[in-house]
Amino acid sequence: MIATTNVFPPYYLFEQAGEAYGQEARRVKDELEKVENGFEISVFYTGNAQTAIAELNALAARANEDDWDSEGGSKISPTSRCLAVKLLKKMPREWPAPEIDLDSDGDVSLQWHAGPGRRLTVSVGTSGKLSYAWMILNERGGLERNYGVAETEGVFPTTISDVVSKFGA
Amino acid sequence: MLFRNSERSAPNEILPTTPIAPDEPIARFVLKEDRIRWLSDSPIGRIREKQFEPDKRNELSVFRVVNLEELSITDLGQKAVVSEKQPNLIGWGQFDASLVAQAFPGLHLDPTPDLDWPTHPRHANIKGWPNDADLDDRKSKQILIKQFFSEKAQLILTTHGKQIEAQKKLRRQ
Repeated sequence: MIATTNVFPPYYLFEQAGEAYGQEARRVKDELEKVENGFEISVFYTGNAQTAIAELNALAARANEDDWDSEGGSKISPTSRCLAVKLLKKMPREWPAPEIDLDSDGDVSLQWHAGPGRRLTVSVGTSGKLSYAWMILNERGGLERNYGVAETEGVFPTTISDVVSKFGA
Repeated sequence: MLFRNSERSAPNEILPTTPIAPDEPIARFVLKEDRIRWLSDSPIGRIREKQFEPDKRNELSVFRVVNLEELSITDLGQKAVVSEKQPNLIGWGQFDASLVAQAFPGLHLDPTPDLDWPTHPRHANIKGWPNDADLDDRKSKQILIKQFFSEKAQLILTTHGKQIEAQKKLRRQ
C-alpha cells in the first residue's frame, strides 16, 4: 500500500499566490497546485527529495513575511520555491538531500556539503535560471572552484549534476 | 554608540589606520543558531554560507581580533554586535586576513570607519564584492565567496554556543 502524506501547508501556498493579481499570479498559483498534487503522489519515490522538500516547507513557513530573519531578508519567493520543489522531485535518487536556505532576496538556495572541501550551492532564481558555485579539494590538496549560471527546464542541468558525480555521491 | 569607553583603552589597541597583516585574525560574529550547521558526527558544527552574505551595501561586517583571547573576543561581540533583536552571541568564524583576497579578485578588507561603525577601532568591512548588473551572474560569484569563507572559517563557540551544542547532542541521543 502506498500511503500519502501532505506536508505542504496548503492555505499558506494559496495566501502567497493570492497576494498578487493577473496572469503571472495565476500561473504561480497553478504551478503551486501542481507541485502540491504531484508531491502527494511521489512522496515515497525518493527519500532524499522528501527530506529536502520537508525542510524547504519548514523554512517557507518561517519566511512568510519580509524581515523574517530580523536582518531585512525578503520573504520566500513563491516562484523560486515552486521551481526548487520541481528540481528536487526530479533529483536523482542517489543524490544526498541538500541543506536548504534562503538568499536575502527570497530565492531558495540548495547546498550540498560532501565533506571538507567538497561543496555545491545552487540558488534557484525567479528568472528560472540557476546560479551556482562549487569547490572540490583535489589530490594535491588544492581547492578547485568555479561558478556559473545555468538554464533549467525543471531538472538539474549536466553542469550541476556533473559536480555531484565528482563528489562520489 | 554600541561600545563602551573601556574598549578604547584596552591593551594592544588597534586603530583603524593600523595596517592589516596577512596573518591577522578576522572574526565574523554569529548571533543566530540557525547560521550554524550542528553536526552529529563532529564535536562542533560549521558556519553556514548564509552567514557570509554581504549586506544591502554589498559589504560584510567583520572585526579584527588580533591580540585578543577568546573571552575578550566574546566581550567585544557582546558590546559591539549584540542587540535587542539578536541578544545572543553564539560564536564567531575566524580566518586569516589573507583569505579575503584569495576568496575573489578585488575583495579586500577596509578598516576605514563608516556611518554604522564610526569609531569602533576593531571594525572592518569586507568590500569589493561582485556587482554585476546581471543578478544571476552576481549571485553565482557571491556564492563562490560565501562558500570559501564558510569552508575556511574556524567556528569558535561562546559559552552560550557550547550550551546550545550540548542541548542538541542530548536531543539526538
